[in-house]
Amino acid sequence: MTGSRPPADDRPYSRQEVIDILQAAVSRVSRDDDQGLHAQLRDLARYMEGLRHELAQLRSIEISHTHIPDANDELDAVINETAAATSTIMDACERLQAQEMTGASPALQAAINTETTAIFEACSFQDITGQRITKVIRALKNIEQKVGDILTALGHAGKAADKAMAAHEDTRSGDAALLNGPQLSGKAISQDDIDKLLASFD
Amino acid sequence: MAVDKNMNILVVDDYQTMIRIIKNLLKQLGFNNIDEASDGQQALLKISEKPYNLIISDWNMEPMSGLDLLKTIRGSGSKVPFIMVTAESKTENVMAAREAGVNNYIVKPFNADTLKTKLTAVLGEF
Repeated sequence: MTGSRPPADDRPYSRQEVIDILQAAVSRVSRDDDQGLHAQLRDLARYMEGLRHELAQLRSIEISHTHIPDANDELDAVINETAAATSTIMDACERLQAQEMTGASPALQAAINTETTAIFEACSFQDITGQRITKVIRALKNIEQKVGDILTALGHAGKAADKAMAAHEDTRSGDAALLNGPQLSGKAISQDDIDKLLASFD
Repeated sequence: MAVDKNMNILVVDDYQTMIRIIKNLLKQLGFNNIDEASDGQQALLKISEKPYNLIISDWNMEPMSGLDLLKTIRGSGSKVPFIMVTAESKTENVMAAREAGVNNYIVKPFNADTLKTKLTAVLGEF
């Protein structure tokens, strides 16, 4: 028995350590014949068991193992895709600015410069949204870590995880099962691949 | 004294988008000798290779932030004009940058007029 001493480091109590502490307290109370406290500790034990079941029903493992990592991947993709799109916009502006406008009036040249500069300024949205999304990703990773810690403390690793992952399986059927939104690179085929695939049926 | 448009400028930001925006705006204002770095450490390498007349830097970068870059530069005794361009807009941020020796501070997003105003404040009329 580990007794009621806290763990030497900052780690949380393990499930077994919590059980040991509770059992030690209950047996001591039994000896002292303090029925009121005994009942309270039994209630506490029941409450913790209930909490364990509720967490299982919330599919916490799915949140930790699937939903949060998926959300992180999607947000990473948003950053990369907006960066690529912004780069394309700025390339076009730079080409326009570099054009020699022979015969164009000074007013037209000035107007083009003003508008391309405005487009450049507006492109700073990518930097701002990128930073905001990075903050969200960091927060999600923190939540993922905390959920993982809680699950480990409650002994939810291993088989429970497999069960919850199986419960996550897509139950949609027919055309509805085809809809998954934009795919992350590496998880989909390219336009070239699609063209080749379609051509193979000709 | 007129500002030398051939001065060496270093733009530091971990987002390529922002570097391109600042470089483009600087070019519109007539500055052409512009180098870039993606964080404070890379900026220090560039500074060790070439003297710069102006540094325009983001704050939030890894592994070395813009504030640490500024502190390192000021710690070496350099008084090179330094403009912080950042999304960090809390008073304590501005105060920390000021304490570290920043010459001016631009909050993102910004426009060409703001950049020109700040450049004028730091370098003089041009």
